Amino acid sequence: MMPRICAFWKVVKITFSIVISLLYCEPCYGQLSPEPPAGLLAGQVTRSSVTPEPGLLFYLSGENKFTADYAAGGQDKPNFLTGLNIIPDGAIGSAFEADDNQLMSYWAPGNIFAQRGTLSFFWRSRYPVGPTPLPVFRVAFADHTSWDMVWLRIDYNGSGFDAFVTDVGLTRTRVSHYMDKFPTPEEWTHIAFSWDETEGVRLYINGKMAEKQSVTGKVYDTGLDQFGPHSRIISPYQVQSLYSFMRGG
Amino acid sequence: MLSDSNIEGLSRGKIPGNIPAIKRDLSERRWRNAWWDRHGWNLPNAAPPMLPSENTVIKKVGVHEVYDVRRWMWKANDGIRETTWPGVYNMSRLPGRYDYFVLPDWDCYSMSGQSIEFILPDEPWNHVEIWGKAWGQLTYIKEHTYDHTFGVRSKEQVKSYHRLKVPGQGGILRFDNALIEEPIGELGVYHVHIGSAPDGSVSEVFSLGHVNGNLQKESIASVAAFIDGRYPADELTKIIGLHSIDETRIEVIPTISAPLPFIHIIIPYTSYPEHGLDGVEIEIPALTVDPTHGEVFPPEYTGERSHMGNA
Repeated sequence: MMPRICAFWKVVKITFSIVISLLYCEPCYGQLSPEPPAGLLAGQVTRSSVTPEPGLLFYLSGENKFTADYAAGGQDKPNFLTGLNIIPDGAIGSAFEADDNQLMSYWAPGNIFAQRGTLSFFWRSRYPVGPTPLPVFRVAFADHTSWDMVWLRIDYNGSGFDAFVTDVGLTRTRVSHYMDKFPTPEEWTHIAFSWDETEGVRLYINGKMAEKQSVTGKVYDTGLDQFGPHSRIISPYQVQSLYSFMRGG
Repeated sequence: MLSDSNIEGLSRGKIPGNIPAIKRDLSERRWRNAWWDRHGWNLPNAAPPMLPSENTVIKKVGVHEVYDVRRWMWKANDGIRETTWPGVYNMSRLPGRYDYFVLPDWDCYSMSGQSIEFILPDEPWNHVEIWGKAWGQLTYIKEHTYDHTFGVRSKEQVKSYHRLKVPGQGGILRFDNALIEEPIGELGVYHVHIGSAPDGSVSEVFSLGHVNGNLQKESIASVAAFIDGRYPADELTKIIGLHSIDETRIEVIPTISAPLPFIHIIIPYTSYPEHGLDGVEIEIPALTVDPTHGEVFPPEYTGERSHMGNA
């Protein structure tokens, strides 16, 4: 039996960062605002706003339900939302409880940039993890040749956490962190991941740097589409294929 | 990137204070090198060749027949940098792509991704620009002549420029990948020659002026909003086509003090149902920039070129 992990996650902060496609996870309903308003291009900001904190691009606390406290790109509502509850006892204030088939994503344009940035959130599994890896957070390309469309991902790797961003040459600046004892379902873990095309990537666990990888001559700059916890990004081909074979009446 | 102490604070729920500034100043080596890497002004490949004349025509040569083995391939010349030739391999050997998630994250078999042939239309061409990490060589193939390798891409080059000494006519352009998984994001073929725009066409004339977000036309506002979502704050400088007679030029109020030399040009195109858009004539004033290498800007590289094998 393959274990499926649901999790609570809380406080996404994306600071300093650059940025289009489709995020999706089973089951494929729950799309709230699938397309931008008429007359707008997909993947554009709706209004630019001035940041309350220096460098802050996106902040989701759960205190305003699923609306982001701040979204630099203006699109502060999730565009996909299924299987999420808000619970009062997060690491700090409210948190989100995610079902096994959860679906939660936000538009990327203006809210995250590929050249550089930092992603920070609290997470805990809802029941014990096993040896099978699972994605914890993902950011999708706007368009890409790969079928998984993943630009950034943070995973539970079987005994710790993996994290990567993808450069324009399809290679991934990736770090793997293994833990002797993985946090129990009762323990919140703070995960922060930083990337910068002139420096590389750094993974922090509970405020301490766990892994880093330096780079030279990399270009991360690319169009991004959506981000959110868990689930799986699929390509436009897979959307078409799934739709053809899941449609009831 | 936030600092270690910023992140330590975040882990305790503290709003980060005193975060590192990211003022990208191109006089600093770190930012200059990254900027040159991205735009093809870094070494060791040749810098973009200079234009042949003050009056130059750049004709884009449309390429519609492209094959990798026998698979028709459009992803290296579809205008979208993120779609590449080749795509991702099953069990990729590229760093960081080994994954425990067994997904159909590939579109290449063992024979593909090694060589790609662009079958050119029967018209003159002399210039190729490539964006991507693929390194290898460019060869011009035409019947009744020897194959002519005229361009070598190095590992270090994301954007490269290749000019034929004598224009070719049609034929096949082949790129051989030294490392089979490294991709080409975009390859463009052009004919660069002395000349000027043809007379007698229906045309519209614009002056380019700065805008500060006061974009009235909805179509322009939409494009501008896309730019705002795609690029960071110091890459958002926009200029717009203004009908100089009936519109007042809006002076720029920069959103930040030191934008990078990267400008988005937005032209409010009028639709003429009986005419298509065939071309754009641009008059560029002399730039007040300091030459960075020799007498040119962007730099012209005069040192020894690095070739495959000894790079």
